[in-house]
Amino acid sequence: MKLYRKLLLVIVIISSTSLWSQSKIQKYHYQMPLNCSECHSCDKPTHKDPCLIVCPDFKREGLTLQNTAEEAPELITIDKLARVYEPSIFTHKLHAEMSEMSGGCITCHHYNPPGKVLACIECHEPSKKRTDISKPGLTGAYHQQCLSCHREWSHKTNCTVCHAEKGSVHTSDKSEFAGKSHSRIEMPKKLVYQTEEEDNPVVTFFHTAHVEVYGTKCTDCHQDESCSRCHDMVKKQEIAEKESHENCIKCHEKEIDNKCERCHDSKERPPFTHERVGWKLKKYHATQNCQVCHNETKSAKLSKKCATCHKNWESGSFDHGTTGLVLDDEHIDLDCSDCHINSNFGKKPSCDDCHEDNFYPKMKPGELK
Amino acid sequence: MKQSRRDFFKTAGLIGAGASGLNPEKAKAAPVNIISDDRMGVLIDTTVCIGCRRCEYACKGAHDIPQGSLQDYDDRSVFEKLRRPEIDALTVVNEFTNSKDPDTPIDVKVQCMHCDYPACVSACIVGAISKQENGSVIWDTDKCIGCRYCMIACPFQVPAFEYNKALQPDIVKCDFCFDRTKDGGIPACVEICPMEALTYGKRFELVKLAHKKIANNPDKYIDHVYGETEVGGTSWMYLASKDFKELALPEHSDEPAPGASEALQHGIFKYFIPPASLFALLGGIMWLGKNKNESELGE
Repeated sequence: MKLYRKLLLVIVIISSTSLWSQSKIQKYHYQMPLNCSECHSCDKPTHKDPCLIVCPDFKREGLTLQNTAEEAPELITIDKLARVYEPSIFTHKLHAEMSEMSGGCITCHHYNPPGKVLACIECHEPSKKRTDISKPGLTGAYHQQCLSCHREWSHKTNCTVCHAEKGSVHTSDKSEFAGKSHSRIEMPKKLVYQTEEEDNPVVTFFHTAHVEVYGTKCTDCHQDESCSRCHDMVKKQEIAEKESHENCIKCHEKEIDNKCERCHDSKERPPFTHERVGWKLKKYHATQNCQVCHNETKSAKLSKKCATCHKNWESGSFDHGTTGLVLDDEHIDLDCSDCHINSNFGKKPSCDDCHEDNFYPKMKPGELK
Repeated sequence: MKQSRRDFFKTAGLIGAGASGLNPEKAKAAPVNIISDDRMGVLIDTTVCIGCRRCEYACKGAHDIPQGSLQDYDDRSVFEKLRRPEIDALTVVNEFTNSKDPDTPIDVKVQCMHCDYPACVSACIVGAISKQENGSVIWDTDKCIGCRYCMIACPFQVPAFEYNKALQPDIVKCDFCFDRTKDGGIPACVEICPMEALTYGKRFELVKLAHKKIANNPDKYIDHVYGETEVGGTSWMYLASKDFKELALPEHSDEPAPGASEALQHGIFKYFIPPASLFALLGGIMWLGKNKNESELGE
């Protein structure tokens, strides 16, 4: 009788644990934002026949994890298929950086269920004999992925472009590739476009100013770029009309307001200077990004009054040194409006109240920094 | 009254044979011409092919044709001329300019299409060519008499002839690597293709795959699977980004190619009319002669 009891206990324990583990799997599935038909081909999948679809490859679902290029593994050695050639070293991080200007990580990682980012081999079998014909094997997946871009810009399809012959030292030294990041892209200073506009065909675009002064990010304009835009070994790609208009309008829609002449001119235009709008920037302001002052509405006119931006500037707490002029002991205790008449800081200060003969600007009330 | 695909074809065959006056008992003597539901095929995605010509290399290796070195196949100057399969190259790749994107030319592999209703099988007067259950259209060298009817019948101009051989010249063409596939292997060209532009599988699955690819990439492909219905369907099929006419793949109707030639040729030979009439004629002359002799003797 005791034996039976023991046996019963063991059965109960085993069955309960198996039940528990099952319910855990189900719960795990429930938590996932999944559509049953994405993984199962039949209506009622059972444990015996889960009727699983192997990686629905054709849907570009995007990534569930948002990774940055910095987080990407730096180098990936592809040696799963090395028979005739040395393993290939894939500069993964470098490609991830470049992909930021094109399709992003999903350019290659096109299918990812919730969880970690999948490597190619997790769906694409190394065997050439496919169980699922809709999905290329690993060799095909690698080659299709790499050559779709590399063929476009190198115009070469020879194996040795990527693969080193067996026995050569080419790829055995990884240090050559390590720590390599995308070289600094040389920006054009200005681009002068000859458009098909009849009266005013010339559009001058100041590229450096947009990046360095106006604070435009590369990806603000360069999205979905084809690799060959930069990497074509033979020729540079032209920018399509639609493409350039879209890029400009993204920021300048309000000012352009369908007026062609805002950008199009009969001749090349001089670069933008702040002087043209009536306020020549000096010292501190000249070094600033536009956004520092013109943050929200980029072209909006701002008041020349310092306090419009410098809200915490009050006499007593204000350090005159920020303007580039450190006041000397005689002037430091004066009230702002003693020199800056009516607290109008846009106008030249007046020294007439205390000094004769145009004291300023020949002599300064302190020392220039 | 559920009718399988094979049953359907059997009935269709019977009706067809009946209509042409050929009764099925006599058709038994016809060559092997099997259309299996599970016949294999290859889908060639010309948008993936890069023209590396590794298939040409592997094909020669699999058919005991001198291959040369792998580096020889990097020579792209061969693309200057449009090539056709030859006795020493059962498959060739041709390259075409891509008007959409001049930087990526379109490469198209050419080989026997392994038709579902092969005109060569129909044209062969000695029954040397056969359509096998796995889809391959192969030929028996021992039976071939070198009449070259198959070359004329082929809607894709595939079979080549060993003109250089004075004795026992043979017809040569892609055999779908029958020696490999009959034992479950995959064709040599499919195996070597680094881009996997060639997909080997059951034909009906390939058709499904081809349409799925088109549906998922409507900008990339034209909505046409070449070989799905051309000349009644072929085992090898193509996907492309532009019209197949521009890729030197001939325009064909959905009618099986044997139609015209078969009716004509089989019509003449039906019921052994030519030999029967010849023997009747000779017999008649002999009979007349015999009568004459008899009458002479009788006199």
